[in-house]
Amino acid sequence: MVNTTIPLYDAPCAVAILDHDLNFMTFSRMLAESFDLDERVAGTSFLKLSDKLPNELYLDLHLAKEGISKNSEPVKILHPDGQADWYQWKITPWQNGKEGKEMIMLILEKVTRRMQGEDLHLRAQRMARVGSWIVDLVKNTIYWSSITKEIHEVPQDFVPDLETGISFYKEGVSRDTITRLVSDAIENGTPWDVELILVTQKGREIWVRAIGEPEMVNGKCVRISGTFQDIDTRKRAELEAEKIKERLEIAADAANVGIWDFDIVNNVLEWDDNMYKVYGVPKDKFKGVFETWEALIHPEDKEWTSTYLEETLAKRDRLEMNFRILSHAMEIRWIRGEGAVIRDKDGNPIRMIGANWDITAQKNAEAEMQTLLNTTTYQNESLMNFAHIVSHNMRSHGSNLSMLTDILLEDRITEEEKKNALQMLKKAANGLNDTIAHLNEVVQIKTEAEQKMTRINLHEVVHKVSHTLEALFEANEVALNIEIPSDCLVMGVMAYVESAVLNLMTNAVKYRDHGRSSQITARAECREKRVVLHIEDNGLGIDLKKHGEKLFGMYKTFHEHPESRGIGLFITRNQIESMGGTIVVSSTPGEGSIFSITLKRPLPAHE
Amino acid sequence: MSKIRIAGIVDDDPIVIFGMKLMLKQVDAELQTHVWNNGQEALEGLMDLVHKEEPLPDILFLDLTMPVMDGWDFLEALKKAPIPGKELVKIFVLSSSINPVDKERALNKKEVQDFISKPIKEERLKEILSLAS
Repeated sequence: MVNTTIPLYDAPCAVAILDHDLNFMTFSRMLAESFDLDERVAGTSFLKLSDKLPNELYLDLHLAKEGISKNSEPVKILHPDGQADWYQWKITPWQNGKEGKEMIMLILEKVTRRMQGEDLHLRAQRMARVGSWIVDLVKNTIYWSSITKEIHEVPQDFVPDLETGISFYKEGVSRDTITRLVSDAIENGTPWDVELILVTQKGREIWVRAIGEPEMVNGKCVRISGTFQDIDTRKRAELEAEKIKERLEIAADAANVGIWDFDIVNNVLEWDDNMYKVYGVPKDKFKGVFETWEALIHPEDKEWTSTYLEETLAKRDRLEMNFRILSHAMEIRWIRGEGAVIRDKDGNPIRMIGANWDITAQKNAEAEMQTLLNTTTYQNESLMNFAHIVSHNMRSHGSNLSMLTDILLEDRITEEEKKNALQMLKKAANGLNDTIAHLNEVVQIKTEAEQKMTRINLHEVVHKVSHTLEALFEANEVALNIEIPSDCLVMGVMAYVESAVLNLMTNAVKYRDHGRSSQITARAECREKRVVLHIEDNGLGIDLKKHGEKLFGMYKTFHEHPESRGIGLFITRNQIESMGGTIVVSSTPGEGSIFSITLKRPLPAHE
Repeated sequence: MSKIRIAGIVDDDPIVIFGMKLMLKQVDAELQTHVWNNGQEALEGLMDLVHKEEPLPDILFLDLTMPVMDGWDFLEALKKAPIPGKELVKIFVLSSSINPVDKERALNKKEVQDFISKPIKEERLKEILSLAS
């Protein structure tokens, strides 16, 4: 037996019994509490409640007077102060214990708190364009939320069924996929989460994310609920990006450009397949961290690349560098790196994306071009010298010969003059001969040097040369001092090194200062890769301000000396340069000169 | 203009000096000649003439390529040298150079009368001596 005498006052909900005229007959404590009522309201009209209630409630109460019952959804009412309340009610008209028109049972709940939460949720759903749906497989009904309807572009009163639901998916992949997923869900309870194309009522194709969660009871699917999200904008952007990336990848692949992506925060460096080719490392040898990349950098490029990277992360947005790596096969490659730094809103670097490609061929070509340029410059210089000899020296001998023959062919000169002229003629002819010999020397220097380079003991060479000059030193009272380690080795052409030493020592004797006792010192300075040979004298010295530029030029002499030929230093410089060395001079007029020849040391590996 | 009485030869080549002297003598037996082997010597020689109050040469045959001081440097040094009447000395550059750059450079100097490529012919010498006088 059901006990029907429990007082309404203690009912666990806000309930009131109203008479036909909507006056309070009785109410529960919960109702009294929510509307701040006491027993004095008995007999007063519900309509006189001071609380503002939704209009729909009053409408439903009037309908109840006609015997119509109502279950409402939560209804929102806005108060003048901007606050909102939600109410939900259930109205049942009664007459003698049955449905009728005499009394009205009103269950009226203030659901503000619950609805505030739901409202936010709804708004979030609306903003995210998330619609929901429920398929009840027992009752065979389907429910779509209003956003789901909006997404499908159907009117709000549209009544879907399972079949039409599926038919909205685009024919082909999308529809086949959803059909399979739904049947899978029904059979096995497998949920889904896919991105598919929907064709709306208006015929528009949009991308949606569809999630379905089947509910199984005793191995049988009773219901599937799910969400629908309009992801069209994102998906299209994503697809566009994918397309661009794909194109980029094709281009990168064709151009052998490697793409890297460095997640700075997590220290994860990702390489595409091309990167492994560019760096010449097998994919499985690469751990994907920054340090591994660093380990591949050529030892000589490690320091500056790491400084450059730090600086780039600190203050630049672009990365551009050329560096060398030692590939897995220990081969040196030149790599061009370009990239961009991505920063968070506080400017901290979070990611770096960029490309690398192999520029070894280009670099080699550059080096080759430089060598070619050097050779050309050198050859051009030789040619200029050649032209100089031809235009000046040969011509001066030629013009002398021509002048002298003119004189000799005339009868007006005396016998004595004729004899002199013939002497001069012989001199001019000899001069021409010498010049041609020099010309040959100049042209041959370069081509010969490369073939004849050997390891030369500088100590031995200097001693040997000074030995041949002993008579000259003695005759001119010159003191020679040699300070060269006995194991001092250089790379050079024996004849050139000998000739250079001979030339510089003879010059030192030739241009000695007669006012003091002459001294010549030959000193060697052994550096890591080079040896510098200084030949120092205390002679007349050279005014370098005046003659510095011309000093090593052809046919330049700076002292009026009977034996000045002027060719010596020019030939010496050419020979030394052809051995990859240099010659410089420092001098103070009246004090002396130091000629310094720098030559390469043999490579240690050959020793 | 007065007759050319004194000529100066500035050249380091003994053959040129020999030939020039011979040719000058044949053109004008009375012509007096000074010979200097380079620019420095010529400059000192001219100063010496001033010092001894002897007449400067009326004409100077100047080689370009010489040791110690070349023809170009001589022309510059002469500008600064305290030699009264130096502007009356007619300078002819006499060079074995056939480089047009040298010729142009020489002709651009107002002290230089003309640029003559070696070897100079007797006819040209005659012409110069008569024109200059």
